[in-house]
Amino acid sequence: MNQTQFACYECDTLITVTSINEGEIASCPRCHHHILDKKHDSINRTLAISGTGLLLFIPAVFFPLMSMQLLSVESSASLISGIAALWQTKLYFVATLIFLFCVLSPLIKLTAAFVVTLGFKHNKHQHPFYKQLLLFYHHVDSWEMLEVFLIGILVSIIKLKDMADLSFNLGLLCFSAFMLCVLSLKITLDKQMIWDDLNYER
Amino acid sequence: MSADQNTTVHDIQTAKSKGLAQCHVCKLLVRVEETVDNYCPRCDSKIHMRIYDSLQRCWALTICSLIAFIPANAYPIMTILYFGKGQPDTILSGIILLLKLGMYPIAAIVFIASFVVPLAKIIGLFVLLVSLKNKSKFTKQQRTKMYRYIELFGRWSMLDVFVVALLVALVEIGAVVEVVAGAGATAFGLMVILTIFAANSFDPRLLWDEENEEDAFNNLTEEK
Ligand SMILES: [Zn+2]
Repeated sequence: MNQTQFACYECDTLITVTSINEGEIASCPRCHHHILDKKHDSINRTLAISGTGLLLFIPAVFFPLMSMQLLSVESSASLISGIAALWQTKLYFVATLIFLFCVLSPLIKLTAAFVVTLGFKHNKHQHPFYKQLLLFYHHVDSWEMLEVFLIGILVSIIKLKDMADLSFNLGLLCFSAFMLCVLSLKITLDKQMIWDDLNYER
Repeated sequence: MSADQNTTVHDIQTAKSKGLAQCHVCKLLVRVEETVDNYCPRCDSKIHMRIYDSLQRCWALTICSLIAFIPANAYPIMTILYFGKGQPDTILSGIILLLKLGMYPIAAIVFIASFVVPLAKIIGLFVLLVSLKNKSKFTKQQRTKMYRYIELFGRWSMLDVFVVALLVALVEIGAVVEVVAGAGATAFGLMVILTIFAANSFDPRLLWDEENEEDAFNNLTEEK
C-alpha cells in the first residue's frame, strides 16, 4: 500500500502526494524541504552498488593508503593501522570514534542496503529482520564520515610532502571507490518505497 | 504569483493541528494521543509530536559543546618531533605553521573545517534557540535553511582528528620523525559528537509552530 499523505519533516505541513514519477521530487510548499523523491530503478542499482562496496571493504580498510620513506626507513598507514596507532597512544576515545565513523557505520549501511534490496528482489522482505536492518541504516546514516576521511588523507599528504618521500598505495584507490559506493547509496536507495511495501497491523 | 498558489498557502494545515505526527524513521503519519506513549505501527519507533524536550536538550548540548570547544583549541592536538625535538601544536598554531610554510589552500581547508565550522555551528544553534523566544530578524525560511546547513557541515570538523590518526600511524616506525597525538584530539572528538547530538535534538518544526496564515502569505511573497 502506498502512503499518500506526508508531513514535512521541517515545518510539519500536511501534504498529499498522489502520483510521483521516477526521478521526480515532491517538496514542501512552505519551507521547500524535500518530502519525497522517487528513485530510478532503486533496487537493482542499490544491490549492485552495495555489493561492490562490500567487496571493497576489506582492501579499503586494511590495505595501506599511503607510504612514506625517510632515510631508508619505510612505513605505511592504512585506516585500521591509524586507529590501532591511536589506541596504542592511549587515545581510546578518539580511536573508537574513528572506528565508528569510518569503519562500522559504512559497513552497517552497505550490509543493510545489500540484504534489504536482495530480500526485496526475492520477495522475502516481510521478515522482521529486514525492518531491523532498515532501522540500523537509518540510525547510522548521520555518523558516516568517509568523505571527510578522504580529505584528511589529502591534508596529511600535503603536510608530509616536504618532509619525506611519499607514495600512494592501492588502498587509496580502493578507499576512494568504497567511499563513492557508500555515498551513492543516498542517491540510489529508495527507503520510502521499501517501507511502503512492509505490511503492518494497525 | 498565481491565484491558486495563494489558496494553497491559506490552506496550510500542520500534522499537529490534526492530531497527527509523522514517524521520524519511516515517515508514516500516525494519530497520536497525548497521555500515552505512541509507537509507530510500521517500524516500532517511538513517536513524538515534537522531538521530546527538544529545547532543553538542545540548550544543554550546545552549551556543553561550547565548553568542549575551549580545551579542543587550548590543548595540543599533536606534536611532531624531529630528532626528538619539537613543539606541541594546537589546531590554531598548526594552521599558522601551514601559513608560514606557504601552504595556503590547505591552511584554509583546515581552518574552515576545524575552527569556523564548529564555531559557526555552535553560534548558529544559539541563534536558533534564542530566536524561538525573542523576535528574530531572520525569516522562518532563513532559519530553516540555517538549520539545514548546521546539520550538513557539522561532520567536517572531524577532519583534523583524521589527519592526526594518519600521521601517527604513518610516522610511528620512523626513528627520525615521530608524531605524538595530544589531549586536544580527545576534546575535539568530544566536541564534534556533542555538536552533532545538539543539532539532532533541535526540532525545526518549532520554528514554524506559531505561524499564522498571514505570516505564511508574507513569507511566500517575500521570496518571489
Ligand atoms: Zn515508523
